[in-house]
Amino acid sequence: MTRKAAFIRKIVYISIIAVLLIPLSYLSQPSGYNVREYPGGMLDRMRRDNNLSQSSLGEVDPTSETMKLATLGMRGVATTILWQQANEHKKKENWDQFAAVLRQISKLQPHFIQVWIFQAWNQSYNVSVEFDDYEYRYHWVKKGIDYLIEGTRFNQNDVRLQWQLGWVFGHKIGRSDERQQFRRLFKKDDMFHEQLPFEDMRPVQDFQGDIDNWLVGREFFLRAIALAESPKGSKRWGQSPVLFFSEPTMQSINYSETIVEEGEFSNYATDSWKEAGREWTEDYGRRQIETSVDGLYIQLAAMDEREKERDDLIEQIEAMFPDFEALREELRQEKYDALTDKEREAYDLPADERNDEQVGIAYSVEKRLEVKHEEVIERAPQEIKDKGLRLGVQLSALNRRIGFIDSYRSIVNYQYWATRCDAEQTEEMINARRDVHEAAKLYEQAVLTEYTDPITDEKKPGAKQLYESAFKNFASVFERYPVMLDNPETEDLLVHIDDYRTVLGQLEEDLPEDFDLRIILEIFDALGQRRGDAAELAKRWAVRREALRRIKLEEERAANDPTNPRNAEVSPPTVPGDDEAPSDSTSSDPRNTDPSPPTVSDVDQPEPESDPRTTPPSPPEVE
Amino acid sequence: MTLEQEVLTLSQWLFGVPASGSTPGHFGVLWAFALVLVALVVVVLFVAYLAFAMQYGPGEGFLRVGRMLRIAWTDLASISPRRIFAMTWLAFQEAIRMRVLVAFGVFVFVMLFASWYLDVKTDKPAQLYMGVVLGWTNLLVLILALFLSSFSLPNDIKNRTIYTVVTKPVRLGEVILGRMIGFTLIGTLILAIMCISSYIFVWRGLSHSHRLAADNEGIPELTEDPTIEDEDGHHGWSGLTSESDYHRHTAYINPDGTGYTDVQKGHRHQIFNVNGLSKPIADITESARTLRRAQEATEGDIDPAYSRQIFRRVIETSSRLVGESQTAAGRSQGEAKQLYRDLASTMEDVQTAAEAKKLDATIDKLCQAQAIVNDVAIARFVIGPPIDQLRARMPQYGRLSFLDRAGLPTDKGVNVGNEWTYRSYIEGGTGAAAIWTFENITPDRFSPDNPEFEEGVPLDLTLRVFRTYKGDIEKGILGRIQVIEALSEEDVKAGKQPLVSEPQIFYAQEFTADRKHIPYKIDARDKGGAGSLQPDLNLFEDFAHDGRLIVRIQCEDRAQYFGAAKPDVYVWTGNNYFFVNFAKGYCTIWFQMVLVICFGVLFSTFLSGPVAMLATAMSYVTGYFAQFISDVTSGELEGGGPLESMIRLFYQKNTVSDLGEGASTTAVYGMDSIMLGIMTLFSYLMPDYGNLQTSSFVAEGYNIPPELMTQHMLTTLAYFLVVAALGYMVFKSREVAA
Repeated sequence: MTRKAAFIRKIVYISIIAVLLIPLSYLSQPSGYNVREYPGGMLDRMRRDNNLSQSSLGEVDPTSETMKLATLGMRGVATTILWQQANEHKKKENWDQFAAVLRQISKLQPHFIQVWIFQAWNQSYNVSVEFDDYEYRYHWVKKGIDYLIEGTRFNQNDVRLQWQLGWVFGHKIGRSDERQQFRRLFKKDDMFHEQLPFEDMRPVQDFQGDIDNWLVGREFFLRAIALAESPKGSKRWGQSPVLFFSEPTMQSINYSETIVEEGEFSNYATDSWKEAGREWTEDYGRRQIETSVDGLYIQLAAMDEREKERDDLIEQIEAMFPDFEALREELRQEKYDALTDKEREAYDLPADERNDEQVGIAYSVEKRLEVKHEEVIERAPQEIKDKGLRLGVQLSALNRRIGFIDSYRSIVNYQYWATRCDAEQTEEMINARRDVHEAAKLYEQAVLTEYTDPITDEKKPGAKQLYESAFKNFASVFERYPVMLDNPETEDLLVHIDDYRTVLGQLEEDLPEDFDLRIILEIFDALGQRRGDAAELAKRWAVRREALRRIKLEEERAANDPTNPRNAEVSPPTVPGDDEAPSDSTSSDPRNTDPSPPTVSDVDQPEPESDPRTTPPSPPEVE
Repeated sequence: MTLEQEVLTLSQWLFGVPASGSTPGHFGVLWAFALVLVALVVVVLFVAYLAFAMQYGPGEGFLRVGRMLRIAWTDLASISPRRIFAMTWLAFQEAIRMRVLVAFGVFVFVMLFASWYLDVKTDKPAQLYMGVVLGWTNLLVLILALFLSSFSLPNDIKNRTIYTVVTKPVRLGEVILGRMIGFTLIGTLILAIMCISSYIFVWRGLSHSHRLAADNEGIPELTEDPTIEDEDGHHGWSGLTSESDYHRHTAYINPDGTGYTDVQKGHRHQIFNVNGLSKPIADITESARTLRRAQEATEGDIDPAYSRQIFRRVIETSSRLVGESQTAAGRSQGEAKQLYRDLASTMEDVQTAAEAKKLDATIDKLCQAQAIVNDVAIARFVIGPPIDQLRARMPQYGRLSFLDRAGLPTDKGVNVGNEWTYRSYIEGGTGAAAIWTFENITPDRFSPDNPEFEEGVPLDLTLRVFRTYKGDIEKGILGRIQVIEALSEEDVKAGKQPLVSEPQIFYAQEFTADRKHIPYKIDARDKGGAGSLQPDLNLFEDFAHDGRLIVRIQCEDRAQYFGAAKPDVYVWTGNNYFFVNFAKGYCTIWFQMVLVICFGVLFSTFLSGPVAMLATAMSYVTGYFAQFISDVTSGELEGGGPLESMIRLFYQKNTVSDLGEGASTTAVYGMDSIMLGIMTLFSYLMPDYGNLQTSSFVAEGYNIPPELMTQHMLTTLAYFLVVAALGYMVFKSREVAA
């Protein structure tokens, strides 16, 4: 090879390098100080658009960077080994080493969001319960939270980390078995409060000025929402929007619930429920929530309005036809004629005579026989068809929207929480909660019946009276808001009913037949499991309570009726506990005079179609 | 601390322990060493004979082997310490020339930035610091030893500088020994410097101070604490300290003014009184506070009668306090009088202002009065440096046995579902018990005259708790400790029932060494605990016959469990000096370094530098992962040998999925078993480096047992001798071949 050839080759190489440098410089040109005027090369723009540069993700940590460099590109391997080590430390209960390794992992891969979430959960939920001492447990819950907070420093725009923080603050501290202790420790933990990244602490302070975990959780959820709505926030939320947006309000609800549970029955509690209700029905209920269908947004609180729109539309459609119902019936008949013999046979049979297969067939036939407005419109005369079709399309869209609202409302139990917020503000509910709280305390102190306050010398109700008063108020609330019965919170009452029964047992009394919360006992079996549809039970219960009320009225009327021959002979029935001893004669009680007393179960079985308000079961009697 | 591998006594380690029950036996190291040595000698002689026989014929081969042995003996007999020293010095100088001190530079660099990487919020900072310094020292020193030992001889041979040595009247054995000792010396020097600088690093990193948290007026925020009470019924005080290094303590001050903080992050602090006064809150301060609170509550409008009442109390107490402080703080009578005069005149001002209903002026004057009293009557405290952080507890472990729920002996307790089976669990409220037997618990070791043992024989508990139901979460799980009379075999045969002490009830505390004491005077019942009560029995005379102390621990709460392993209960025999323990930790690094140097020099006698280094590194890895290799070979660890695991990685199959049948799989299994066989053989021959790690003792604050140190030392010595001999032979054979 001559020197010339070698020289030419070098020139060619240099030229190729120079040529390649041109696109490279175009691609990787950095942006200037003023990004608008000097947006930089393609790589820089892509990095900015996708929030991939270190500084846009969060803090740049020198230790993290050195560690990444020190692994010489073997970061993945190093992380895997550390992950393995962490598992081993966890298995062998080397908790401090475990935490130290987790720190190292996060330094190596600070932008791997799932690592932060998983390992924070591991510390707060899995490691914490390995300790017997609740203070250690609390310490490890905090460690998990600390880990998440550190994660947010490296990933300032990640929605999931903020959301997770809200969750752990709220639910781990406020819902776990040790919630009383955790909340107590959290309120006192000034050092931990100092780490909270809030400039203004007022929104997280409760009515006494203490930092409350639910309110802290709420703030983090609000931050997550603010991020999700800002262009720089991550696109992945880790939740469906309907749940994602519900959380801040749920924290307000949980906060209200907790302060009442802890014995706060003043205006603070009602105000808090009021505010929670407002947030639920206005802030959340009126929020445009994206559905699983592209571009379809719904408002959970707009159910009534949409239904009204639908009714108007249907009215318009039906008004277009001279005889809409006849046409609908005609279509139905056509569909019926098109059925196979087997289908017709199954459908025509009375429901209780169908076998399993026929039940299925009949159900599907019923669905098919339904005539929708759109189908009737198809048969409309030409002159009104166009308008009809337009309205039909609108109706379909509206139906679909209503369907979505309905199903999304059921996901978050919208109606229940709206009702609960209302119900909790009522005087009856506040009184019920106060009485049950006081009753539980007196029960603990074994003060079962009325007692005299040694300081004020006043007569005060004992556990029994307070329970009874509480249950009466609860019953009244449930009657007004039957939807309240269909929720797990009702189970909490079971504990108090059990205590009440114990109180009665100690006083050698039985649970009264007209016990106000018998419905609760019917909803749950002896093991605390739900027995059936609470709504259905609630209906029946309302009927029975009405019946009992009528009996009482009847009794009172009968007792006060001077024309009643029985009253001439005996005095009216006395209330037990009065100074005057109850009469020995049982004949004074009209209930005992009835020759054939039907059982309560008799009034338990109203006709399914009958309206309890208008057709009370006859004759209202009890044992 | 967790001790998965039991520390054997020297005789057990040397001569072996037979297996008993569920405890595996141990084959005596001495026998193993002798066996390996004999095998090695046979193999070496056989290889030498083969080599000679192939070159000179079978008959001549024998003669040559004999001659070789004679030369070896001559070399051994004529080894000269002077020449070894010369060789050592040469190696030392060479090492310096090779800039080994760079390793120290790297170490200093690491120490400078180590704190960046340490988790500042860790619960046990001492462990973390210790882990870092010991880990880095280990790594750096071993790398240094590796490079130094494997490249030296090959470089000399390659550069032919070896001739300047071998042409001198030096024997090859001396060259080998000289290198080993020389490199060891330089390594020792570096290690010693590292040890001292790490100690300083750890000490500086962990030292911090607190002060008592104070209010705006500088008065410590202490409250009277009825849980602290002296014999006369005086109460002590408690309050928080300031925050430092991400923690703060609760301070407990006794009525006499002395005190301690609680334990946080593995340490506590002693509280010292600096002005000889014992009362941290003067009545006058309290009065001023009350007045201020009253003023705030009524928005400035206080009932003058109420304030007068307070002032009267203030004046009475202030004169008393000044009087008391005069003696306590050693003030002269003149000084005290002057103070009292100042106070009285200020108090007059206070009263005048109060009566004139000038509340702001009243408060100001009261503050002045308070400042005077603060100076003279209120105790001042300082909080000392952290204690119990860097320590070396000396535990004496016992034998552990279990009783099942019926109270009958069993091998182990219940498994509560943990993957890690280190601990066995005993059920509460049943006959289940964990029984520890400690030997040599005698009055001359544990005497009430010794302040450390005045309460009794100290017993540290690190039990685990497992709850099957929540119970009262604010209370721990109750347990009981009982001492059982140690009966002789004759007594047992005679059917004698032991004395059982009345139970000492305790709440189990996890993850901390919970100190209990076995008192010297014990109330007990005879007939195995079912008999009559016998008060004030003597621990040593009535229970610990022949120094054998039997302690039974049971869980009191029904259906709750205690978890226990042998090291979870031990008799605390005192503390060793921390630095000595720290140095012992460095000694084990030194042992490892010596072994690496030996193997490096050995391999460098017949391999080129890089290959010798690789071989030495491999020998370390094989020794370090001996247990892992043994687990893979025995099938205890899933995933198979090198080839199989590689195939699983490649095809992304997990460790237990079936590889399928076929010739290729069979071939893979076959090759793996050969490779694993070789690896196992090597792992048996190499030192168990994994076992030579003692950093966990130092980090967790336990003295490294002397038995363990001796075992490590003997192991190192044995390897040193054998490897030196092997190195000599290989080097000799190369010379012969050359």
